[in-house]
Amino acid sequence: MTGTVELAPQHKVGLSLANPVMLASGVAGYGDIQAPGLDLAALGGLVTAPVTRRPARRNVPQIQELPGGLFWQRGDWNPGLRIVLRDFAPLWRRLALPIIVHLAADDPGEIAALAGGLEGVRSVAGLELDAPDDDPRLATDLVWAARQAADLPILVRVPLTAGDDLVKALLETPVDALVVAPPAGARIDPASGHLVYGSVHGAALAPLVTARIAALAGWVEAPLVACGGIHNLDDALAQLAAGARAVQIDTAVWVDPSLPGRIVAALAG
Amino acid sequence: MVFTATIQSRSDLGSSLAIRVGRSEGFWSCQPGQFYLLRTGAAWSPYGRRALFPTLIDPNELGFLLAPSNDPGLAWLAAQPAGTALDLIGPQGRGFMLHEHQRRILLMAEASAVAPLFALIPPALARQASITLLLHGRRRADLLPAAALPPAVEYYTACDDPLPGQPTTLDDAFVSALNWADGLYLAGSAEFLRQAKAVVTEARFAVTSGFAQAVAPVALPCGVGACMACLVDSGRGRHRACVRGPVFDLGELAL
Repeated sequence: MTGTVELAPQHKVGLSLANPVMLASGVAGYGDIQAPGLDLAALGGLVTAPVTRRPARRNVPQIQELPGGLFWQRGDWNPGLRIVLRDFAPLWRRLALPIIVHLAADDPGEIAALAGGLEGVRSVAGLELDAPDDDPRLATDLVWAARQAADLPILVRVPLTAGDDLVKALLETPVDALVVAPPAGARIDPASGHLVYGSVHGAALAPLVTARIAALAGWVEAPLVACGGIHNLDDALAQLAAGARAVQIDTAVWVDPSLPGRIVAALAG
Repeated sequence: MVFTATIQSRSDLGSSLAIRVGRSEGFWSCQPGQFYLLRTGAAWSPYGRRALFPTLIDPNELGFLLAPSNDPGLAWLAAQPAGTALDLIGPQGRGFMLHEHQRRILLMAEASAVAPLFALIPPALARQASITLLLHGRRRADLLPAAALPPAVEYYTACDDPLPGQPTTLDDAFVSALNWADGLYLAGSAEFLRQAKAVVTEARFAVTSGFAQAVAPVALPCGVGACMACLVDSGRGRHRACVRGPVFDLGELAL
């Protein structure tokens, strides 16, 4: 089941992974994760933490633990593209695996600026961006903006909760692969008492992501990537069997840093 | 490093629990103020690893101190008997620096956060330094018994429900000790550190670099530099406490 995986078969350069096991956006920072037991070189690819065009200092990320998982408010803190490239592009060159940069913006102009800023950065193998699940038009505009600004393979994260309309709209764009991603959620912030929004992560997502991948695999020709819920080898096998061409290990890597390497080894064996 | 460790002993220290942990092979090696990440249980609930600061660093065993807590991960650890195998990774982050010239060490903490300071005591004593520990607890029961400390450590406490004649704050003891100390080490909430920094600034005109170090008052949810939830501001920018810290120079820390 292992061997080279192509995530952008329609792209002129392509996005070839040595194996189908990746790390999801943010769980390895910008590639500088300090997790003993995690062997980045064994992986098929790594998606960076989100990058915005400009630095922003407000609202640092917050995490609340849930039974069997966690709730992650990404906040809007970000070092910005210039600092990310200054501090981490040298590291990306040293890491012997494809680096996919996650672009954070909900404006086509911002996405174009980000994508354009990464065009020609030798260590960047692809781009990933978020599709807003309630606005297919905006989602397609974001993809077109990225494509017009950069000739890198484009992966789009589609939340688990998004409907088929969004997927159909994206398939009319030059998207190279779709990533079924953890769902959005809302919780009461215990400190402020206010409703806050974030994403939901944890072991219970695995069968939900698997089912969504299986449903999409019946009619979506673009490569599918499963992101969410993988906490053991069986979860990964199920998502690959359902039709995912690759899997992204999510927050489980913080608890069990050797998990991705064990999955790679098991797939190879 | 990834370790499989075993709980060797458990003992009550006031309302806290002291745990000693051994390794099946190799030796423990870390700096005071660095931390280990404990997986709490074999299943995925509680989900995240918990950051634990050793209170005792010995090649053959680590000591941890568990203050009373509602955290389900720490409750899991507190319920484990001697002989339980633990999954630890670390040491993580950057710890305290004990400077060669320091001979009068002042430690000050809130009782719930004192653990990282404990590990400074043996190396400071080994250098023939004098040590004073100032500890504040919300409840009298939170304060550690003096017997938990080596006799060479001078120990003053304050709490919000004191016995008659006992102080509710450490202010007087802190100001007095600042005139004596040549090194200050702190652990507590942001408000606790803010007040301490103000007192140091007034007493010494400035928090000079190298004089005072503090554990950043933030949670360490992932502990591996990824989630960015432990960002702290310093005079040199914004840093992930779990990688660049969790110990920072007090003068640098924006509180």
